[in-house]
Amino acid sequence: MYKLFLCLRYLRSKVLAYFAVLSVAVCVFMLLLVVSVMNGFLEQIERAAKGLHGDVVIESATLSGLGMYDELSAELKEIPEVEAATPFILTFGIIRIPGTDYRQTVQVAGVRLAERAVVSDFEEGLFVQQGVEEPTWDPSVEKVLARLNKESDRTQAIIDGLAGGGGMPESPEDADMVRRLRSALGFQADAAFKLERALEYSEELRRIEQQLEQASSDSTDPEIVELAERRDELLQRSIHPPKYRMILGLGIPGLSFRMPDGRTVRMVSPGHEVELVLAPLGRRMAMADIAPNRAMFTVIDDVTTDVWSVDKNIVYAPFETLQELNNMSAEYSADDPTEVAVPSRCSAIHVKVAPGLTDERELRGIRDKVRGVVADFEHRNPGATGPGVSVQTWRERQRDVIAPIEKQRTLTVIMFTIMSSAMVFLILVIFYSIVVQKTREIGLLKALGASHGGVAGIFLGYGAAVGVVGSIIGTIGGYYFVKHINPIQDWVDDAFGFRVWERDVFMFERIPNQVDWQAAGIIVAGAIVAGLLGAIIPAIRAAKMQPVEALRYE
Amino acid sequence: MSELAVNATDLHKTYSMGKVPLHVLRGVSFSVKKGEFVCIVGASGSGKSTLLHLVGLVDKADKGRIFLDGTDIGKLPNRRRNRMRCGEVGFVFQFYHLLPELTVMENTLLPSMVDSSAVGWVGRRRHRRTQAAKLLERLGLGERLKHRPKELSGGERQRVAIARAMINSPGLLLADEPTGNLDSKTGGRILDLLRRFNQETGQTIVMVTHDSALASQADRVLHLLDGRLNG
Ligand SMILES: Nc1ncnc2c1ncn2[C@@H]1O[C@H](COP(=O)(O)OP(=O)(O)O)[C@@H](O)[C@H]1O
Ligand SMILES: [Mg+2]
Repeated sequence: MYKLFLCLRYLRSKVLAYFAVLSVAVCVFMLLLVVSVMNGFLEQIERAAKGLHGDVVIESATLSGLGMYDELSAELKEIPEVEAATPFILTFGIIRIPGTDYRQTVQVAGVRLAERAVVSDFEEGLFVQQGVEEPTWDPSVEKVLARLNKESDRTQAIIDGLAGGGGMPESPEDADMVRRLRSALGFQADAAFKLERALEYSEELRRIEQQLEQASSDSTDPEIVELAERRDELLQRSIHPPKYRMILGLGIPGLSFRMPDGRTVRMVSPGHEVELVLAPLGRRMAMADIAPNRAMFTVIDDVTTDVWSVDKNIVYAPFETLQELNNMSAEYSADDPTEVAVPSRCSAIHVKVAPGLTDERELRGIRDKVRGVVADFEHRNPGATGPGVSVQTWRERQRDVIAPIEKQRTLTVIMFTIMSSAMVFLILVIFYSIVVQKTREIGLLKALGASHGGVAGIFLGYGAAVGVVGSIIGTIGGYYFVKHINPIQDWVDDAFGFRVWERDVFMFERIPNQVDWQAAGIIVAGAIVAGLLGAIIPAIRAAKMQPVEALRYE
Repeated sequence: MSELAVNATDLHKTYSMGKVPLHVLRGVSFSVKKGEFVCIVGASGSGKSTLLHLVGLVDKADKGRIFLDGTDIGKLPNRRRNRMRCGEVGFVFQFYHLLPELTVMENTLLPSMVDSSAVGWVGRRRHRRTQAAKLLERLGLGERLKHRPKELSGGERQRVAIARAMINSPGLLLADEPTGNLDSKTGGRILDLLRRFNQETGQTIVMVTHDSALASQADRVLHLLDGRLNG
């Protein structure tokens, strides 16, 4: 009993003990911060990689791509652990805004939206269809318009915040910002106008389409010709059909901009028209024969994946549309136009496994099953999937990105752990001096019947208590620091103009601010062990003390 | 059970300081009956503390045997020695040796805490606290339970030390110059207290002093001279 009692009492009444506690707290704080941020960073990258590729990726080694993907996907879904599979095309292109000087190289992803939402968290980052379980390329125009109007209100509110009362703010930077915001507002109004017009014509369009359908065959009837002309005119002024819709990555340079405080303002928004130009690389042909394909699209949504490098690069188009534009559609035999010579193709198939199977080992098991199915499929359909098909887990696929960061994390954690282990020595020194100070009291305790083990126990308990109390303080401190790490960085930036986390460098908008509780548990356990380790030598020294020596003198 | 609280025969203790061995105890034999108040008198440096330490299990003799209540303490394993130190012998030191972090009450309770496990302590705490409070009351410290040693005078500190020695109701109370650091009036009061314990509850007491005037109050006085005891 006295052991517990005394080590708690010593903890409270020894100033030196406060320093030991403080050193433990600082180390726990530091480790928790480093581990949480590093792990959070890694986790973000992993999540992004997974969002981009699904859990398992089947990929073609050539630009010609994988054929018979739907048949293969159907077979893949027979694997019990496989929940979904969706084809994917990724290629390069240029987007252009008609009537302006704007051109930008981008990566173009062909996706089936509803399936994409199953395979990844894509829908979470959508602007108009945010969180919609089955997003489509054809959301109701009213909905898009309503969302866009809200966005304009938001932009207006930002302007009002900077320039109350409609005037111009004093500082040149703010004035410049207001000008940019007003121009963005103008862009948004254009988009809204287009959407409104599309709404206005939609009724008439539908009626004409119906009439045309009923009239059908006779295309010489002047009334029909007139109807068809009117339809074309309306279509011209309206938005493009669902086949030609596009989702922009929210971050494509020039289409939106960021305020210094991190808020994003959209300029080219849903409703706008964008031209996509790409070199069709999906079919083998002589270089000289490659002529760019082009098509006009209506922007219907935008998306953020939280990964800056993805959002600033990728635009999304309907899978089948991009397939056509990229010359990946089916080719028919010259002799028999109904016979498919080369099936339509995709760049990759993204496979989603059942929830909970996140462990890399489990995933590899599933990957092997997928490999088996693919091999079997190839065997039965020779040449269908093309040469050099690879099957990888998302982690393997992104190894180039993830592995160095993992190594870096491990290295950092090791370095910080070594640094933190210095606290063992600090505790040792502090405890040693406490033991020396307390020589007489230790002698007395022994004279009162305390055993060697008991006396050693006081100091071991003391060490553990220092570890526990230091851990609690360090963990609480670390928790609050990590939680508020972004505001803290903003404040540091404001006050000293110094930023550690640049999104251009670290790919993500914000510093990860989730405390890694599993790591916290290990760190706390480590701190307690360190406290014990530091206390061992002083404890042994105390246990070995002979009471007589201590008690004889004042 | 033995008639004798202490029975020591032919105790030797040598300190080797540098090259010259210092033969402090050279065959000390004595016994103390239960309920007796014995005083050991000797000059400073004559080996009184050394002798008391041997009897109180704080130190070990080079030669000779000591029986406490019939038990040969030379042959006890460490565990039993610790138990005896805690429960059967109460020790009052010349320099009090109170723990500065603890209150009067806590200092007094220390031996009974040493005696019990954490769980056992929780069960016994109430009882022990009232016991300690009574004891401290009897020693005139009823008002000082929450005070720290540094807030007390020398006489008060020594009374706390006595309370601590008595808390486990030991069969034998050893006091090493309990008045040595006190003025004669305060020292006299301490001695009165010990005397009272001896008379009222039959507490066996062995007290060491170099002051023959104080010693005269005891039932029996032994003189330590040249490493030997004479009655
Ligand atoms: N650990 C020791 N080493 C060497 N000499 C010691 C030691 N302890 C005590 N002495 C010596 O033994 C003698 C007896 O000491 P002690 O028992 O304290 O005497 P007293 O209590 O009668 O004053 C003294 O001369 C003292 O210096
Ligand atoms: Mg002495």
